[in-house]
Amino acid sequence: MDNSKIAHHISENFNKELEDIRNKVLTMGGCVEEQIEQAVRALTTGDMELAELVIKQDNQIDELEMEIDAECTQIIALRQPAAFDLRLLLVVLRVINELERIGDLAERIAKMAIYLSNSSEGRTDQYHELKHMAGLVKDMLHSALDNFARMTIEGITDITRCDEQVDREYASIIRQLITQMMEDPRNITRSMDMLWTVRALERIGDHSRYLCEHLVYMVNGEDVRHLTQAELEEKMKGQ
Amino acid sequence: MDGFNSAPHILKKFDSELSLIHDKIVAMGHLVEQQLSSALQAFTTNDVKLAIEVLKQDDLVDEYEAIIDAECISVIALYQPTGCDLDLLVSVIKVTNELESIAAKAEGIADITIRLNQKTVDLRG
Amino acid sequence: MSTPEPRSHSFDASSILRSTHKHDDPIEPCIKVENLNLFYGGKQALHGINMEMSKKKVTAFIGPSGCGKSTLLRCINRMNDLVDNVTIDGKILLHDDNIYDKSVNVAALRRRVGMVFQKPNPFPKSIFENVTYGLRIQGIDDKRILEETVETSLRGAALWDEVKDRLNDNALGLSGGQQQRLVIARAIAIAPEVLLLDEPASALDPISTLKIEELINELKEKYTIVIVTHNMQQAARVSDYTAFMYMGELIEMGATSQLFTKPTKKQTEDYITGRYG
Repeated sequence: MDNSKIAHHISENFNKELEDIRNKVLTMGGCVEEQIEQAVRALTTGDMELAELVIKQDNQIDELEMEIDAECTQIIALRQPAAFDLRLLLVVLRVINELERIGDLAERIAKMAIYLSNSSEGRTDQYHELKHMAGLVKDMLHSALDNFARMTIEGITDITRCDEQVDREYASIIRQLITQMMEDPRNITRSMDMLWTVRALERIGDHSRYLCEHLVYMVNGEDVRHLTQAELEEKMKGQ
Repeated sequence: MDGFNSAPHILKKFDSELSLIHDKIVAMGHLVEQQLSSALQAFTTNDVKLAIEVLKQDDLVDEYEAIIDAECISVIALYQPTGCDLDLLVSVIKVTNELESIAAKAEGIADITIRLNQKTVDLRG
Repeated sequence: MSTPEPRSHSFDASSILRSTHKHDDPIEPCIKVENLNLFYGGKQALHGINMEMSKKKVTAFIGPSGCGKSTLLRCINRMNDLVDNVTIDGKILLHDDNIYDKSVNVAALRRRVGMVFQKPNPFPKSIFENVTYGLRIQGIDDKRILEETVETSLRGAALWDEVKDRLNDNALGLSGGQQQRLVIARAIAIAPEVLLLDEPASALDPISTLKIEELINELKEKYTIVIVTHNMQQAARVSDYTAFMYMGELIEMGATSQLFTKPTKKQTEDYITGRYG
């Protein structure tokens, strides 16, 4: 792994501490990716054991968050970092917060998997679209974490652009669900559960986009939160 | 830990930086509180005008978040606080994030209010 | 049903957002360094330095040992004139006057530009005599003026309350931190415009250091301050502007908060984050 951004401190221990933090964040990121993957699989295959496992594993993510959080604050207190090092540590605090929220959303999908498998008439025709949307948000998260690992922001606007696609697919599935609810009120319970599921996926897309915004701050010190995609692209052009 | 009310520091400039951040986070909290109660009022009374007012506050809330965060980071970089001072500043950064999320929810309510009142009951939108 | 007006804002959220303790008064340059080169014999120690220091602000010079920061500081009151074999070209303008102009009276310059060194250097005389030393060499011996100056200078240096009952005690009986504040009182007694501080706290314990730093904050209400420190964090805490020097060159200068969170040059970043250059 490329260490040029965090290595080369005169203090070898500081290099190690930063690398350790980065690795822990990546471990946490990997766990969260796996949680999404498993939650969606549990839902589409009706695998209840897997759904239960996802719910149980959420604790581990929460624990990782608290552990990294404490470690980060401690490094700031002891090493008194400045410039990139300080931005890195503060961004780690933000990144693990986003990851923790994504973890909660994966847990919600797993809960929906359980509700959906209980509803008798299992209509699986929407699972194809749901899987496609899940694929998109997983890619977004993965690419964001990949950039974090390398401490770069290459192609960051491609990742955030993907969120627009996610929003479009979300809107399209919601329209279908509303139509189904209107067609037959017996669909309502199931459609609502599906609605919460795609809503969770849409939120994962948002949090992945926030991850990208944090990375931009880490790399060049610019606060790019709350910009539209066009504004962000404009801002990143010169970089 | 006494948070913002801890005993004064020898370096008064540090205290004055903290007190500016304190005033801003209180103001931001107040702003978001107002936004949420206006959003609920707009929703329950079908008040589109009020809902639009709620949406208009969005930029100000975002700006509060950006400025408070930047000030906290600059104070951490310049004064290298430790102990409860550092915990306080790191917490403030987390609080601005939570407040911004609450504001986004209030704006969501305002958005729904506007949509409900613009369309006669065509939920397929 | 009439819709209630949006609740009036009981506070002005946008003005609180803009509030800052930094006085946004226009920046007025006090000292300008133009194309300054300095040689110790054949060895060049400062390379084409250009910078401005603002009036009633604190400017800090930071950089590794031997980067030229103290040499540059000493140029501002021509302290380097005392060193053999030094040649200087370029200009330093105090307001609009080049202090290296032949017509400049160096003693008068040093009254306008006071200096405080790393090691407190009070004279082995009473506290009172230390503070009034500068006035006495100017021939002022009106007791009332001297007494007033002692009180205002010691108050200005945040030392009055600690020594007011023993002004006739020998200054060498004071603690290191008190001695350094006494030296600052001595410097401000002759009402300079500029105070040059060369590592003013590096020989002091942490609490005395913080007291000196707090004092610097109070002093900038009246004086333009330039400080050299090897303690980067001290520069961060006390200064409005920071100049980073390396190997006799000015690498980067900017607002302190910007330089410590978002430096623009890699060399600066490496230095303030403690990396090998």
